Parts: sequence; structure tokens; C-alpha cells
Amino acid sequence: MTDYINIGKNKEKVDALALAAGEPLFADDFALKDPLHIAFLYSPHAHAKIKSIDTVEAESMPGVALVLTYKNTPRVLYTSAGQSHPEPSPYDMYMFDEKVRFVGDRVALVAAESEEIAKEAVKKIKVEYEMLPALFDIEEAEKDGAPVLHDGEEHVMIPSAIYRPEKNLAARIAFLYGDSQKGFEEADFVQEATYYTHIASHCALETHVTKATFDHYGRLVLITSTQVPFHARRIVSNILGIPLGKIRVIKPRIGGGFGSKQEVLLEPYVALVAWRTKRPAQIVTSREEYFVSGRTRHAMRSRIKMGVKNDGTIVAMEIDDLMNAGAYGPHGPTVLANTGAKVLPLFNKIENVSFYADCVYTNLPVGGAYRGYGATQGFFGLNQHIDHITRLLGIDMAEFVKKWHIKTGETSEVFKAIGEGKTGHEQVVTSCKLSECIDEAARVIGWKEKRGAKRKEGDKCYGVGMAVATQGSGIPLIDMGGAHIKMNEDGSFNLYVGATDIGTGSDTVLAQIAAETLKVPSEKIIVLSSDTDLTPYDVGAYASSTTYVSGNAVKRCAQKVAERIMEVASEMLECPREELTLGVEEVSHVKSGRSLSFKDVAYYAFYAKNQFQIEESASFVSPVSPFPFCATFAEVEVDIKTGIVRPLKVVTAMDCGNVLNPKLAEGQVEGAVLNGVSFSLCEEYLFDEKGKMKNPSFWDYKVYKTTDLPEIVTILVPSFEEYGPYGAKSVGEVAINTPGPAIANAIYDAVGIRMYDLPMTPERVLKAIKEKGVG
Amino acid sequence: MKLRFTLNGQEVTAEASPLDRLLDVLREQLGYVGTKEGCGEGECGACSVILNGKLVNSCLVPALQVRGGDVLTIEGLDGEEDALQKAFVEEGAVQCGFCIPGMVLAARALLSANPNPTREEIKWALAGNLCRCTGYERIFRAVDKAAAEGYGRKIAAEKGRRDNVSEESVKLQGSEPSRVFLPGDLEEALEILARYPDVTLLSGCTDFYPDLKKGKPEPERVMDIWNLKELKGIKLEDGYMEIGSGTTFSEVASSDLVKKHFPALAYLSTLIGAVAIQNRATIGGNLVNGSAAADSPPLLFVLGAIAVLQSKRGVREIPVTELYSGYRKTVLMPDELLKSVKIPLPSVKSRQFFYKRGSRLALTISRLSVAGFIELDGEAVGDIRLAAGSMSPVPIFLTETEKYLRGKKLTEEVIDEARLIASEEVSPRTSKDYRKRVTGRLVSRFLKEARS
Ligand SMILES: Cc1cc2nc3c(=O)[nH]c(=O)nc-3n(C[C@@H](O)[C@@H](O)[C@H](O)COP(=O)(O)OP(=O)(O)OC[C@H]3O[C@@H](n4cnc5c(N)ncnc54)[C@H](O)[C@@H]3O)c2cc1C
Ligand code: FES
Ligand code: FES
Repeated sequence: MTDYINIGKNKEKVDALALAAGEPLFADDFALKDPLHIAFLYSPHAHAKIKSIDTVEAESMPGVALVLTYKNTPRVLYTSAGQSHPEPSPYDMYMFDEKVRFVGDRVALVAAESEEIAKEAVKKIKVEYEMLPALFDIEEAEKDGAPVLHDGEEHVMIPSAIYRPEKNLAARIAFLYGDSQKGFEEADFVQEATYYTHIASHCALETHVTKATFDHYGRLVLITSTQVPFHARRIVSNILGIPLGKIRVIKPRIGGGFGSKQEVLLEPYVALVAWRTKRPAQIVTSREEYFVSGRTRHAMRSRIKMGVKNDGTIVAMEIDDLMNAGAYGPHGPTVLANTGAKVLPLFNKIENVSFYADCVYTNLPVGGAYRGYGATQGFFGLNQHIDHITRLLGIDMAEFVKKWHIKTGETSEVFKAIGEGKTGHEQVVTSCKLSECIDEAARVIGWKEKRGAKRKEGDKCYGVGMAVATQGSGIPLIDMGGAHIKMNEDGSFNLYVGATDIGTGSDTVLAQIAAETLKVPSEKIIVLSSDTDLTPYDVGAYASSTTYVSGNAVKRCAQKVAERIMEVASEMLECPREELTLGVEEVSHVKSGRSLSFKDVAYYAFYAKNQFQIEESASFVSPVSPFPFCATFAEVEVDIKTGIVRPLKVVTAMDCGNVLNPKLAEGQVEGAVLNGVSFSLCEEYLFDEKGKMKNPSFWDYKVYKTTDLPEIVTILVPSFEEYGPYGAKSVGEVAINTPGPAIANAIYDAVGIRMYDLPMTPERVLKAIKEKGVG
Repeated sequence: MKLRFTLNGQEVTAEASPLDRLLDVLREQLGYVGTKEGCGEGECGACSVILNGKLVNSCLVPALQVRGGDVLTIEGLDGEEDALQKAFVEEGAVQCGFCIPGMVLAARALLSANPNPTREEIKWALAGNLCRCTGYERIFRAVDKAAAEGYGRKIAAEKGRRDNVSEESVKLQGSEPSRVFLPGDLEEALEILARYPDVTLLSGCTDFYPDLKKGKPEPERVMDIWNLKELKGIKLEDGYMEIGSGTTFSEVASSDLVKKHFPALAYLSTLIGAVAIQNRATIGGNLVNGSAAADSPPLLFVLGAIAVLQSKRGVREIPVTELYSGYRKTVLMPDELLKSVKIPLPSVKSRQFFYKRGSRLALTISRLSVAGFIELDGEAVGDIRLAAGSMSPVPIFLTETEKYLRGKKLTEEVIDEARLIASEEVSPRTSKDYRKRVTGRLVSRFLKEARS
């Protein structure tokens, strides 16, 4: 294993220098010739019917080229969720509808010669609304008499979830095994609590940008900030009826996604404007639009009930989740499924489990994919619950988790019960170093000395807390990635992958995998990714799939190319293929001591005899979704007079399989951890009583900055995942799940209050302190 | 209008409308797209550039203010040859890269002023630059690395490759001469103000652009006062410190005079946004704009500051406490501007303080602030003034608390009672409990410090 030449090395990110130099690489950096600029009219109401809409004045403004409303756009139902076909999200939206369902819903658009004119014209559109009662409270959604959001003809395509729009039910997932009632009866005590996680924004630094133009065949070319170029192409084609072959989607560099761009949010609109007017068109959304009209993390209420024996055995668990879809349901069913599927297997020895989860519509911003994808929501409550139970039992949570968590070679009933998009199927954990992660992180934070020490200085109280989590690596039997490699005369290779690098460094890691397999330094691999005309298909950047799924495709492809190289060499050296070995940039015949450089081989194949292009393609779809694991330990300072919680140190130990590129992997963990800290301590959507977001800007929606930072420590605890390319598992998402509950548990350790509700702002903490009478 | 300025060492010409932002001119006019827009409101730093040697947010700078100036964007650095950019690459500090040009320039501005910064100094210097991908750790390491390689000293030595703008730096076109005013001195500015009382003054524009974004109508006429020398500077005179209204918070924060006499004001200045904001935000704009969240008014209230207003008709002085006639309204006459703020020098026995709280440590528009001034008479409280900001349209004095404290010895009991009175004196509309409680606590913290 030690003789890897690329794997495990800190290879520089292939695009880093160009990015640091500010080269024109992002969607908005591409200047179109004379484009139309698009501006949307957004609904000011949470729930209303459009009685009339008058666009005459807007249309007659000089410089206005096109106005689109529900009257002149396709009446095709779709979901904006960028998922594999058939998307497991309800088809519940039109480009424009006669009804608006949240403040920020789209009513119309204007395409004009300049952004200013478009915005002016938007103001000239006259809309008469018939107000409908709005629904904001998830607890009210399914009650009789509640306002119904989707009372039309929407249909659904989810095999494993129940959909009842007339009850505002976007999805229901329920399963049970064992007999939880019996379990509770056997228990020595029952612990029950309800936890809340909130709506949040991804805050990718680049907002959503889509540009449309035409190639010399008159085909439509979309340059767009997307995590899912292939899904975008398919969905645009389906909605607009433009043949798929007439659309090309190019993903340039992306300024962060985190799930927000796993959404086909702008592409159909910009495509339609360009197609109708036969002119290039574009939209660059503002930060406010990103907050209000983009996607969010689904808020969730999670009620957890556990029956426990005095010896620590959890005999029964009941989970009752209620998730807020917002006005539409993209990703609703799958995020909902993951609140169980990714969370419950961690404690696989509980014999009696019942899981019941609903995802309901409300007249609030739309939920979507967000790093963690339901696991974040689920692990917030679960980790606090375990903390509480271990406190009641008087035992150390770290030891408890180590004893009870799922181990290598084990399985969970949950795998069979639910999957993401399809029904579940059995899977055995093939690598798990969670116990080692716990030990490592505990040591670094000083768990033994600090836990329960109740250190106090003046008004400042100190405590430590921990949390653990898992995720997956791609969606089994659904996520597919393709790769294509061709060899050049100098022994370099072009690697074409559909995989979508959204800043995560996947181009680099995939190059390392190709290089390792071909035995060349990764600098010899030229990566081109995510262009529907040039690269093979890939699902895109989500579900922690890229390194694992696309990585396996690349490895397979590179193996085939290596095989071709060997064949040519065997012809050249006139010796059997079996006697040849692949060395670094050469093929050698040990017996005779002869060898050929890759360059020799390539020249021969190109120019000498039986000429052909050395190239191969391969695809990969996985039967399993290997689990990465992580443990986060946090130390906090709580000021009991102000309620301010300062995380001092956050230590995360991560088992992401064999580490392909330590610096990039650590960077993923650090980014996820900080996002998790920021999410749980200060990021918050504030709504007025009419459902309008009150703080759609970085001024008022607070995100952690350099000066707020705790000390962040990342420890990689390598394992070897047999299914993974070179033993790798995913790393991008899992670490966002643990900071919130670890901090909440640390707050409990410090001041004995339980934070059931996110975010843990000074106001909330102070309120809890006051209620408890600690401060 | 036609603008000339130096961009990355070379003279350039650009066409701009009166309110165009430097960011738009760079990206759209000149094709320098390395400068990014992440928010358009001064909060993310993706648009950072270095203007006349100082880090600024180009989304908040009117292009007309760079006429004849010197702008450095990411394209002006040497890429592979630039030790700082290389350090970012080598340390794995670049993920999506969207924030990186701004980060690199913020780091460069830091290193050119402070070649060997501590980790804490790096954090403060980058506090205005948001990154959602990296968790920042690797960015800090990159800055450390470049510093260790002597980057700061090297770039300091490298100055002087800028073109001097050869011709007139600005040419107004069409109707612009009656809409855009670029006075050369204060007298001319007052003349214009007298003639066009509806003209909007452009100073650091850190409130101006965010206000436009929030829906304030675009002004018909604007006048650039950013460069007026008469509005800049800090001096001592007749028992007062006079601070020109056009003085930036960076200048206030670094002034030895301010640090000596008004440490609370110097401290406050370091808390206004982040570096790029402090380099542009002026104390005059902060005071006149009268936002409820503005930090300087409560402190200037308790320090007994005087606003010096000037028009063609003459100069008048009024206490800052009488400056406001309502929420975001002042008593300035249409033809007047704020020339300076005069603050009476405090006695050596006195103490002053300013605290603010928001949900993050830096770059937060304060959700509550408390300022105080106290003079002890032996052990007893002599003069005391306390004011709270952000919880009402204009700062309020905590008169009950003041009254209670006057003449009392600062015992534990007295301080505790003062804390309770103070928390009852404010009546915030939102986050009530929290803000009341914290207000009381900040007052008690101040009294404890004043006693020691
Ligand atoms: C990201 C960010 C963070 C911030 N953080 C803080 C903070 O923490 N605390 C805080 O207090 N503020 C904060 N601010 C606001 C602060 O930058 C402004 O209040 C600033 O001080 C205003 O000065 P300016 O020169 O930029 O004013 P401008 O925007 O140029 O002008 C604002 C208004 O004042 C008028 N004006 C300016 N100068 C004069 C004068 N001499 N006479 C008469 N009228 C005049 C102008 O006509 C205009 O109407 C922040 C701003 C941003 C963008
Ligand atoms: S674009 Fe965010 S600070 Fe300028
Ligand atoms: S690298 Fe993506 S925002 Fe900083």
C-alpha cells in the first residue's frame, strides 16, 4: 500500500491556481453577446390565487423583449429536484402557476435589453390576487380545515412514500420492526423528548447563475451554476419539449453548492426565453433571491422515545418526525427517508423500532437538498437523546456509543426497510472505525478530565459534549457515473467525467485515481468534467457520491486503458501479455529486462501498425453505499448572564476510508464542521406574520466569520473500504451532522440545560437558563 | 462619464454612469472578472480590491470616486510567481475559489501593513471575507506561509509601478454636469449645496449603496465629498478634539490622539464592520445617516460631543444629542453639511466605555450597544452618563440609572441595583428579554471596571 504514487498524496487541486488568479471560470464570468436579461416578479403573498395578471404595460416598455406568465408557458408538471429519473420527488410545480404558495414564489418574468429595464418592467406587471388563508405551522398541516396548498392535479412518482396533497402531505414514510410497545414495557425507564431543527440557507458564495446561448448548429447551450448538468438537460427538455439532443449543458467552475444547486431552478426559464426569442439570455440572481426564492434545509420536529434498561440496553425506540417541505416538495420524500435511513442504523442493536415520518407542505420557502440531507436533522435529536440517557444511567457517552454502534460485518434492519428513492435492501457494513474516531477525538479534547468538571469562571461556564454520525456514499443501484479516458502520444491522458466538481476537488481526486491505476503521476491526467456534449453521464455532485461512484467508474475505465496499453506492448515486445508488468509510465518484461515507455506504446498505437486510439469508457453503479463515520467533540463556554455560547474547540475524527488526498479531505471536514457550527449557533430565517423572510441578506442572516471561529481540529482515521476506489468512502457531507448536537451536549455539560431547539442563539440559551434558574 | 484611473499599474479609461459601482465597471466594462459579487452589500468581501493602497469592497465604491486613483485587482498579481497566491494553492486553501480573489487581496493588504501578523491579527484582517467552503483554517495557514516567506516586506519594496494618470481624470457627459458634482474644496461644495439643496452627498458610501438596495430611490443629483481635505483629519483645539466628518473609522482607530483621549472611540472604530468597511465608513456619515444600529451616536452622546454644521451661510454648533429629529432624520438644513465633530477632552479621572452585542463577534450591525462616561469624585460617582443604542430609533440616555448612581459609592449592591434599573430602562421591540438583561449586565460590567 505504501508504494502508491498518487493515492494518499497532497496533490494540489488542479484548478486552484487559476481560481486564485481570478481567471474567468464561473458562469457569470462568461460574457454573452448581447444577451437578454431576465428578472422575476415574485409573490408578495404566502398563499393566493392570481385573479388577473396584466402585462401589457410591461410588454410595451422599450427594451422589453418577452414577458412570461402561466398564460404563455408550458403547463408541464415537474419537480425542480435534480435527481435521477424518475425523480423520487412529487411533480408539484409548473414554471408559473395560477396560484402562489409562498412569499418569493414566481409569478412572472421579464426579459429585456438590460437588467435595469427588466426590473423596471417587472414593477409594471399588474397582478390581482385573491388571498387564501396561509399555512405556516407544520402541526396544523394535516388537520381538517387546514388550507390546502396543492389542490390541483399534481401527481407523484415515489414508490416508497405515501403522497396525499389534499392533506398537505408531501410524503409519509413509516416502518417498524420488532414490537416497540413490548419493548417499552420491558424497559426500566422511558425517555422521551422533542427536538427542533430549523430552516437554513446554504449560502454558497456564488448565487444561482444561468446563461443560455446557441452553438453553430442552433442548439441551445446552457452555462449554468449547477451540481447536476445531466439532470438539468433532461428536465429542461421534458418541460420545454426541446429534444434533449438539442441541448448542451456546461458546468463551469461553481462557487459552492452544498445542495442548493442540485436543483433545476433557473435553467427552464432562461432556456425558454432564449428558445422563444432566438437570442442569448441570462440571469444572475441576487443574494436576496438566493435566500427567499432558492432552496433551504428542511426544518424538522423530531420526537424520540426510548425504552432503556438499567444495564444500558435500549430495548425500544420510537421516532416520530414531522418535516417542513415548504411550498413544494423537491427532495422532500428522500430527505425525510434519510432522517431515518442514515440515522437509525448507527444503533443497530435496538430490537424494537418504530419510525414514522411525515413531510408536509406549508406556505414557507422551499426545502431542498442540503449537505447532510436529513441526517443532520435526525442526528441532532438522537445524539442529545443518547447523551441524556447515558447521564441518567451515570455512564460515559463515549463508552456507551463505542459499545452499541454498528460495527464492521454488521447490518441493520433499517437498510432493508428504507432506501433513497427505491425501497431499501440489505447491506453489511464493510468498514467502520467509529470507535477509533471516538477515542482519538476524546483524547484531543481532553474528554476524561473535562467531562462533568463543571468548570466556572465568573459568569462563564465550561463544558464538553460529543456527537457521532454517519452518512452514505452515493445512492445504491441508482447513482451512476461514467468515465472516458484516451491516451495521447506523450503518455498523458485525457480523462472525461460527468462528475461535477463544485469546489470540492473531485476533478483532482478523480485524476489521482486514474493516475494511480495507470501508474503515472496525476499531473499527466488532463481532466475535463461536466459538459453534456463532451463527457459521459454522471448523476452529479450529491449524496456524497463523487469519490465513491464516479471514482469507481474512473478506476474501472483506467484499468481497461491499462489493459489496452499492455496489449500493445505485448505486440511490440512480441511476448505474451501475462509476462508483462505495468511500471511507472512504462511496461516491462522482467524476463528479458526490456521495457517500453508509455510514449513508445502510444506512438506505436498511433503511427506504426494496426493503428488505433487507445481509449476506453466505463460506468459504475454501486450495489451498496458504504458508510463514512465521524465523531465530533466540542468544548464550549456559556456565559450565563448573556446566553452567549462560544465554541472554543471542535475536534472531529473521521473515518472516510482510505484517504485519497489528505489536504482536500481535511478541507471538506473543516468546511462541513464550520457550516454545522454556524448553522446551529446563529443562522436563522426570521419570518414576519405573513410568512415573509425578514432577514434576506448577510447583514441580518448571520454566518460564521473568521473572528467567530473556534479552534477546529480534524483527525483522519483511515480504514479500508473494500468497495471503494483504493479503499475510499465519501467525506463531503457527514461532518456537518455532528457539531450541532456536540455543542448542545456541551452546553448541557456546562450549565445543565437542554437545547431542544435550534439555533442556539443567546436569546434562546438565556431563556433556557432563566427557566432552569441557573443564571 | 469618462473615467481615467490606474488599474494594476496601467492607465485605463472607462465609461460609467454616475452611480455605477467600481465592481460593475471592473467586471462589465473592463472585463476584469476576477473580482466577484457575493452579496452587493459589503458583507462578504468577494468584491475586495485595493484602492489607493487600502482594502475596499468594490460593491460599495462609486466608480466616480476612483478617478485618478490606483486600483489593484486580483489580475494585477503575478499568479504562479506570487508567493501569496502560491501559498493559497499549496496549502489547499482553495475549494470552490469564489471567495479566494478577495481573500488574497485582503491578506495582501494585511501583509503589506503588517508583514508578520499573529493568528489573531490574520483573523481580524480577514473578518470581512466570507468563505463557505474551507472553514478558514487552510486560508490562515496560507497567509502564515506567505508571511514567513517575507511576502509583506517584498511587496512593500515593490511599489511604484503605477502609471500616473496622464490627462484629466474625469469627463462628464450629456446631462451629467447638472447631476454630478465633484467639488475641489469645501467652499465649492457649500456653494453647490446652496444652489442644489436636493443633492445627495457621497462620502464612503457604505450606507449609501445598502440603502439603495433596500429600496431608497436613486438620487437625481450627487456630490462627491469623499476627497475634501477640509473634512478630514483629527486635531486638538481649545480643550476639544475635532474630528473631520470625512475621517474614516480606520483613521480614527489608528489615531494616537484618539487612543489617548478617547480609547472607547478608538475601540468602537475597530468594531465597525470589518477592515474594508472601516477604510471607507466615515464618522460623519455614521452620525448623519442616523441608522438605529449606528455605533458612534451613543458614545458621542455620553461624551458630550458637538456637531459642527456648515453652510454657505456660516457655521453653527449643536450638541450631538440634538442632531436627530426622528428616525433617520436630522436637523441639518438642506444646504448644510456636517463639517466635524468636536468632543470635549475628558479629565484624567474619567472613564469611558462602549460595548456591543450581536450574534457574531465581528461584522455585526449591533443589536444592542451601551456607552458610558463616568467621573469619580473620590469613591463616589460624580458625573455619569449612560446611553443605549440599537433598541430605539435614536440612542436613549439611561437617566434613571444615572440618577440612582450619582453620588453613590460603587459597592456590589449599588452596582447590582444599577444593573436592574438599567435593564428596566430600555424597551426594545424584539428580543426583549435578552436585550434588557444584557443591557443591565453591560452597565454593571462597566461600573466594575470603573471602580478598579
Ligand atoms: C458591511 C457593513 C458593516 C457595517 N457595520 C457597522 C457597524 O458595525 N457599526 C456601525 O455603526 N455602522 C456599520 N456600518 C455602517 C457604516 O459603515 C456607515 O454608517 C458609515 O459610517 C457611513 O459613512 P459613509 O461615509 O460610508 O456614508 P455614506 O454612505 O457616504 O453616506 C451616508 C449618508 O450620510 C450623508 N453624509 C455623509 N457624510 C455627510 C456629511 N459630512 N454631512 C452631511 N451628510 C453626510 C450622505 O449624504 C448619505 O445620505 C456598516 C456598513 C456595512 C456596509
Ligand atoms: S459583493 Fe459582498 S462585499 Fe461586495
Ligand atoms: S473557497 Fe468557496 S467560498 Fe471560499
